[in-house]
Amino acid sequence: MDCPTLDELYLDEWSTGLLAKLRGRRYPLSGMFELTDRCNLGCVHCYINQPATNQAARDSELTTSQVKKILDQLVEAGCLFLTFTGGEVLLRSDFTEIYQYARQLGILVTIFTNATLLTPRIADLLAESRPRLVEVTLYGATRETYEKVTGVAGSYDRCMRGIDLLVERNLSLNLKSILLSINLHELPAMRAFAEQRGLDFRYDGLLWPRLDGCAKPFDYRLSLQELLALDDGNPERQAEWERIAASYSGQALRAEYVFSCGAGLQSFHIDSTGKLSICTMARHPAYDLNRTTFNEAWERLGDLRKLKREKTTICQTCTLGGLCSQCPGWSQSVHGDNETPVEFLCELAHFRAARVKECIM
Amino acid sequence: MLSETRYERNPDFIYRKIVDESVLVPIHHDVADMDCIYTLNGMGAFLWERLAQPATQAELEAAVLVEYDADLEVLVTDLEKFLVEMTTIGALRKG
Repeated sequence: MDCPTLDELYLDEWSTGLLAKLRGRRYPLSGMFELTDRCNLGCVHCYINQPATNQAARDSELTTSQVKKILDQLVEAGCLFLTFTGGEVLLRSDFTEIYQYARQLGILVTIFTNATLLTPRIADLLAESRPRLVEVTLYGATRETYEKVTGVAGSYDRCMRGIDLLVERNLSLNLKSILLSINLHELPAMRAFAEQRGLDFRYDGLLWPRLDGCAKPFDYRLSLQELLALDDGNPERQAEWERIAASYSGQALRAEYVFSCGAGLQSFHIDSTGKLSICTMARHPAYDLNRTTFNEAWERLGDLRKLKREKTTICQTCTLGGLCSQCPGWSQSVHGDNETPVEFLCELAHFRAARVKECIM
Repeated sequence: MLSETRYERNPDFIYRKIVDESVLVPIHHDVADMDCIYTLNGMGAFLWERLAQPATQAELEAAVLVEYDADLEVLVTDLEKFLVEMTTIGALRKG
């Protein structure tokens, strides 16, 4: 394009330039918006799901007009990238209305869904005004395993149908999985499933406790050895750990500030009741967007970035920071504060560091 | 002599100000272009705002000449390229 007034750029390239221009300045460029805590599936490991019929959860959700009001404010504040997540977003009968409203505002939307509630009508609507990305979670490669995780008969077939609806319309689609003790053996088959359809596939093996404090998801957690074996079986993943280890070698990343990650710098999280927090897992403090404007709440969140550590923990002097998933979100979820280390993550980081050292020697 | 063709915005392109950048976000778009975004420089953003009401090239040229103190030939050439490219991508329609 040879035009001084107009330029066409790849989104990723443009975003990278924009972030460089911000140079660490806070700006609400992207966010996660949980539209509901409810889900039609009952996955054994999920940190949030409430039954689809849970009336209390339903009653606490933002109304359509409340969601729209928040979206208006997000656009005013400069948000461009927004992910609608849940629970299962398609449980909301107003999802398509919310989605179209966001698109009309010029928001680039990503949708996290289990795809089981997708219909041709919804898929057609998405094809008409395309989301930036749809991410569908696979809980297994076979009906038996998938439904062992979700606890819902027929959910595997509905997920497959949902994926087909998206693929048929050539929507931008990624698949992902959360690896559990009961589906780990199907990782190669899930990867192959994605490859056969030309789709990107990613996975994670770390499980969070439930938001209500229940540790039941940990019953399905992979062992440290299984998590490390995932890296061994994936050269790209292992190379990434090696790169991270080299980049942060010798640095105590968590020496001074509570938040040493990127939370709340260019991103935010809004829960299904309208509470704004710094990220999806660090939900305290949170500010009610029904009572305060987004801009006011965003400013107040900025104070969290200045919080200095108060506890004396091993994290302050640890130089494995880049290899460790420890963060205030994890501490809040497991210990109810911002700083207490999560032992499992600590052990994993040390094993991972040893493995990286072995590989590069 | 300039054409009497009027240019109007395509409402399927949404103008957004992100940080200090002016961008156009297409909301109905071809699959191939889903990963792209359009950025406007100062004059491009000025023209887009001016096109809140449909306008001819002559009207836009007059507005640009009032707003910008630059070489006439360059301004006119830039305006012509703007109209061609914006029409090509579908952000502007000829009325």
